[in-house]
Amino acid sequence: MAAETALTVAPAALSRSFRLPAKTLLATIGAFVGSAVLSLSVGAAGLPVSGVILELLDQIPLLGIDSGLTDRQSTILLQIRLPRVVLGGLVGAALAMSGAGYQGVFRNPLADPFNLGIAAGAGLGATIALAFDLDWAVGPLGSVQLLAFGGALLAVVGAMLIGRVAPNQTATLLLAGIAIASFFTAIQTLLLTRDVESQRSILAWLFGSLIASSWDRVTIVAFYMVVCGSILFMMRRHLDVLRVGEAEAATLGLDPARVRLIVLFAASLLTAAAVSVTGLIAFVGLVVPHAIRMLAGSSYRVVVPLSAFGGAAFMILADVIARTVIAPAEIGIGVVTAFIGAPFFAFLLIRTRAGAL
Amino acid sequence: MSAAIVIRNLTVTYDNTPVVNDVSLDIQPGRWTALLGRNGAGKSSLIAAVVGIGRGADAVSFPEHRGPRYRFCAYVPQSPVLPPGMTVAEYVLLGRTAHMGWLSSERSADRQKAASAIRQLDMDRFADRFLDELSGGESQRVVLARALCQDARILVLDEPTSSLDVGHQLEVLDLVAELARDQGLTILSAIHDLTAAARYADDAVVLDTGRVAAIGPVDSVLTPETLSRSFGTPMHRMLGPDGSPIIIPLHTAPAGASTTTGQES
Repeated sequence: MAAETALTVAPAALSRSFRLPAKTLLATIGAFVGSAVLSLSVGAAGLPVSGVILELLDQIPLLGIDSGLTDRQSTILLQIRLPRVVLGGLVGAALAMSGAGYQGVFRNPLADPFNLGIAAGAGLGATIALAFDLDWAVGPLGSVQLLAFGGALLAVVGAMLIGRVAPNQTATLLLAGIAIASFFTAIQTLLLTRDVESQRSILAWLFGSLIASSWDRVTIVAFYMVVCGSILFMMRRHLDVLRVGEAEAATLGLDPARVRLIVLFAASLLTAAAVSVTGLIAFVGLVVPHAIRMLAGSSYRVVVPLSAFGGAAFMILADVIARTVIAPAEIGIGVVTAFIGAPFFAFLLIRTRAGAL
Repeated sequence: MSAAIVIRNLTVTYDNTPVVNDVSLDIQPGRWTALLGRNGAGKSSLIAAVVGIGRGADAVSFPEHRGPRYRFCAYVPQSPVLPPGMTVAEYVLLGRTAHMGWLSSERSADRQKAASAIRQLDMDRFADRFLDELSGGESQRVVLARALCQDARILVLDEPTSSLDVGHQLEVLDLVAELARDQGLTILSAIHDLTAAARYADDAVVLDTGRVAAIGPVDSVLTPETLSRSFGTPMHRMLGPDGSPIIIPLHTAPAGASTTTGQES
């Protein structure tokens, strides 16, 4: 009899809890699409927004639309701007999703994709490539990207190996990451001071840029996004269970160590792939998941997927600013993400109760 | 009748010091067993082994049940983690984790379970509230709802009321007693308050420096002699106005230096 009443009353409250909030979902997707169109239209060669949209629709097979763009404009759009926007979107989504994953696993609002020394590892790899003028490539990836990717993974593996001394203490893992990061940064600084000539290119890489975007690079990041992004998406319920702590989660039937390993693996690989192509872009992975939490609630079923759209939108917008404010020169996109991300974050913090973190 | 929880030769050692030392005991089904003892007597380590989150989990078996213990045994911690921003409904539904496949998500049957658990604990109007807005008593109520949602036949509680004021302590214990009675649950609960143990529990186990000092029905275990020995302080047992036993520690220091019912921690 109790069950019968429950049928009609309580499930409403229950089912609502986990549905993606339609408004926020539409808002984030809208922000993503809007920023993409804006970014495609803005630049040295101004392209009409309507032409951009029509030309993109024209790319859909079997759809013959005259966009009114000249061949030159069409090339700029499809070969220069579009890969840049897509890459920016992918990297933003990758960093934000990874950030959500790290925050879930470490149960720490300060966690971000660079926690386990990834930034320092990638930075050291890129610095070595640039300082020693290593000039080789595998497919579309040059020595800078390859060494950055290798350095990032080396840092994560190192942190995990050191962190194994206390397998149930995520704090130990974080501290191991800090140790690795300090060590790698020290070597990097040493190389930087030794080799004054390459300082400029190293610093430029460290601040991140989408300037060298190409469809080849898009393919690489897209591959990792599909694989690792799917894994993170599938782990969203587990991350919710993990919010009660590893011990309690275990009594509920979750294997916390397995979840932690899978999420850290996927998030780290995804971050490494993203930063190896674009350089270090700070703040996206930290800020975007929090912004989503403040707007749409703290369940990872919401935070993980919406972070992908939010991260993409944020990154594309940051890139528009990075390449327009001092055009024709560009500023590091990492500078922009921090410059607009930090005040925005502060605004959200003040507006929302601190407990929502 | 076979035991609900069988513990055989449980030893838990930290830094070469055994905190639980070769403990073997049976917990009877459908009864409330109170786990008593001083701080450091090994209560929490024993509880952790029973729910499978500490060392020595292999020394504990459940003859009445098959499969992993989280399918029938729920844990109510001393201070449960209540994630801010999570609603009561979401939290209770976490109890279904125990019965879900690795990559599946909740079905409507799971939501029904959560709904009826919330209903049974009279929490309907709280279903949409955030956990960080609940009082201490309400929080423990939500944790119990999660345990019910987990389909638990065995509830293992670690000092479930120690962070509550006196009124809420009784409220939570009454609730556990009611659930145990209505659903035939087996209760194993570490508890500080000897008077509460005497009032609510059927059986009692007294641990002293990692060993079983006494075991049996509460009336035979909660005697001044046994308790005085295990707690290292003289105890007095008397009857309260409603005829239920009250157990108080007597100060060995100046006579008349009065004590309260709450066992000092």
